[in-house]
Amino acid sequence: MAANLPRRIIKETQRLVSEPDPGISATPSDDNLRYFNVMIAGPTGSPFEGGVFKLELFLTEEYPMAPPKVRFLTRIYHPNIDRLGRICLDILKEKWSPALQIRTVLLSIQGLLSAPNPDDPLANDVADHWKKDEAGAITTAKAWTNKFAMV
Amino acid sequence: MLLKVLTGDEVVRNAGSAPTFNLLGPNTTVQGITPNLFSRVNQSDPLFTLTSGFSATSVRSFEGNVAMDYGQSRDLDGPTLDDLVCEEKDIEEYKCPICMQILQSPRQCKNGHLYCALCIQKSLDKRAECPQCRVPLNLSELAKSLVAEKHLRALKVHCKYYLMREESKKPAHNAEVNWIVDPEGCQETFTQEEAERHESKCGYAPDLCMFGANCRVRKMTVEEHRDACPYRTITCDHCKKEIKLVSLEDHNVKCPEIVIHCELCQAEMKRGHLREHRRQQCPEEDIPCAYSEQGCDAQVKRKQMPRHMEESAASHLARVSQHLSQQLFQMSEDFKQSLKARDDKIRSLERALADQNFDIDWKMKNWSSLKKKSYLQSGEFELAGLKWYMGIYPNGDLPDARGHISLFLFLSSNCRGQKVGLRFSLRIMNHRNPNTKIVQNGFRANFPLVERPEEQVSKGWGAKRFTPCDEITEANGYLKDDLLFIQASITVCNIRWEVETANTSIVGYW
Ligand SMILES: [Zn+2]
Ligand SMILES: [Zn+2]
Ligand SMILES: [Zn+2]
Ligand SMILES: [Zn+2]
Ligand SMILES: [Zn+2]
Ligand SMILES: [Zn+2]
Ligand SMILES: [Zn+2]
Repeated sequence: MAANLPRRIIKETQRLVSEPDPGISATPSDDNLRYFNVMIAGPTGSPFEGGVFKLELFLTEEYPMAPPKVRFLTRIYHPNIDRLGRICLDILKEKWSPALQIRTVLLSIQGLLSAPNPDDPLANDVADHWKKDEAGAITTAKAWTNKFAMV
Repeated sequence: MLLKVLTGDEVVRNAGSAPTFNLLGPNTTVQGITPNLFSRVNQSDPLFTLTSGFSATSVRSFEGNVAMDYGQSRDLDGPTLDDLVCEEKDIEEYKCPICMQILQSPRQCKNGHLYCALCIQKSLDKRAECPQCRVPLNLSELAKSLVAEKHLRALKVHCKYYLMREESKKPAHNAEVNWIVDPEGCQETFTQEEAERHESKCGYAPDLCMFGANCRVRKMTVEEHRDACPYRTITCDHCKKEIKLVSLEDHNVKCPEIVIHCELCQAEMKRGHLREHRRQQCPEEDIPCAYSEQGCDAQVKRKQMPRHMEESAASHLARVSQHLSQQLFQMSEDFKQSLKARDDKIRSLERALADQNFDIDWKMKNWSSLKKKSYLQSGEFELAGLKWYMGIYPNGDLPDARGHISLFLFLSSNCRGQKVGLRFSLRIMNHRNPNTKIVQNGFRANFPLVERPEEQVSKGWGAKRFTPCDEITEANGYLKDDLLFIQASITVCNIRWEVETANTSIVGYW
């Protein structure tokens, strides 16, 4: 049996549902309230516009002292997201703070879609493509969005 | 001294003298770190070096009592401050960004960011920075916030008995206790500072039902509950027994003293008498015919039984007679059985007897004068439950045996109705040489069943010409000092009884 769900998680969950941020939805799984099904809409003006990206988010027992574990489930062509959906984002690692929340994490990821950062890459080949031929990379990213992220 | 303060009890006691953050009333067992202690640490107390020990021991001791749920109620059994606060205005400023609940023992960073003491300690264990502004921070740099404390003390809250536990219908993995407004709960509000004093004497506090039931009782209703509890004991008006009120309904359908109607005949009686009524009196009760044992299957109402008896007299009679003859047959079978058993027993006794051999000595002094008598008889002796004697005719019993001694064994005449099978030998003993005795051997005889007149003469068994009279002389050794010595050796082979009844001879059996 899982331990009691901390009030903080209950509170965050309630707020995610009652005051959702535009373009972001996070729903806890029925059988594990620490596991969230997340959907992020590709931000307007980004190569991901029009796509809906599925992610999974898991709150470990240490949360909020340890960051949530987040991963893209939908394939995405992005210099900071690798083939396995892993995200290169400092607040998910060394820059985590217990004052951050699920909401802030998801907003940051949404921001990462608007502003890819090829200087701090996780997917080296995508980052190289992005640095050498940004227009070409964006075209590929759009194509991937059309191929994988269209509902 | 400082280390002592860190034990749970000491912390609470210490908290009493210092400004307290016991926000949750009398049941609160663990406080945040006392401000007192913290200020001493901050003033670079000589014991400052103990701070590392402090964070290790005190946090652990907190964890013993406080759930890992940061900032959740210190009173594990009660609602949290967040549940009880009644003005939401400005409250967000006094919520901890780590546990997202109202600050407990507020601590701040150099830039004034506020946290619960416990929450920020845990965070600093991981990262030595303020979680909000990331300014470098360690335990000793944390500061109290008098403004926050003051605000928190002045917070308007409900009495904790304003809320009640929601009966959980949730799955076990979400075992969080939910507090909902108790519609009959305490309506009072006051500042957080006053909460403890009020709640310690609040009449809405739950109390125990004096009848041990699980009733919702409050301090202020305990007395009236004595007369209202559904589990209280009352006396049954009818049978005067003590019963629990809740079981009254049950009792009412069982109480033997309550007057009820017989559902068959509508007669009125106490419930306790119903069974007897139905068994013995009720005219509407179906009862079996008195001749059911004889095979009449009729089941009629008691009131109709006389008519049945009248109508079925002939068939009853036939049944009775048939039944009786069956019974007689059975009785005779049983009787046979029991006789057979008895017979078996007798036979086994006979067998035991039959194996016994008896030697009876008959010594006659003055034979020379005795032999002039025509007949001499021995004393009676008992053998196999019958009486016997020996008889001797010194000169033969009848003319055809003159010149001979006749010697017989007799069954005493009062042993009627029995037959005895014997093997016996009669002998006249030789005094000089025991081996030359005169013996008549191998008699086998059934002594008479009924004394028959025509057999009067010879109801004894033996030999008419046992031995010539002149054989019995001193010279031959058969007399010594004029003593004749006769010996009978008898073995009982069987005894038979014959039973005669008035009309029939049931069985002869052997
Ligand atoms: Zn907190
Ligand atoms: Zn700060
Ligand atoms: Zn009250
Ligand atoms: Zn009660
Ligand atoms: Zn009664
Ligand atoms: Zn009746
Ligand atoms: Zn009958």
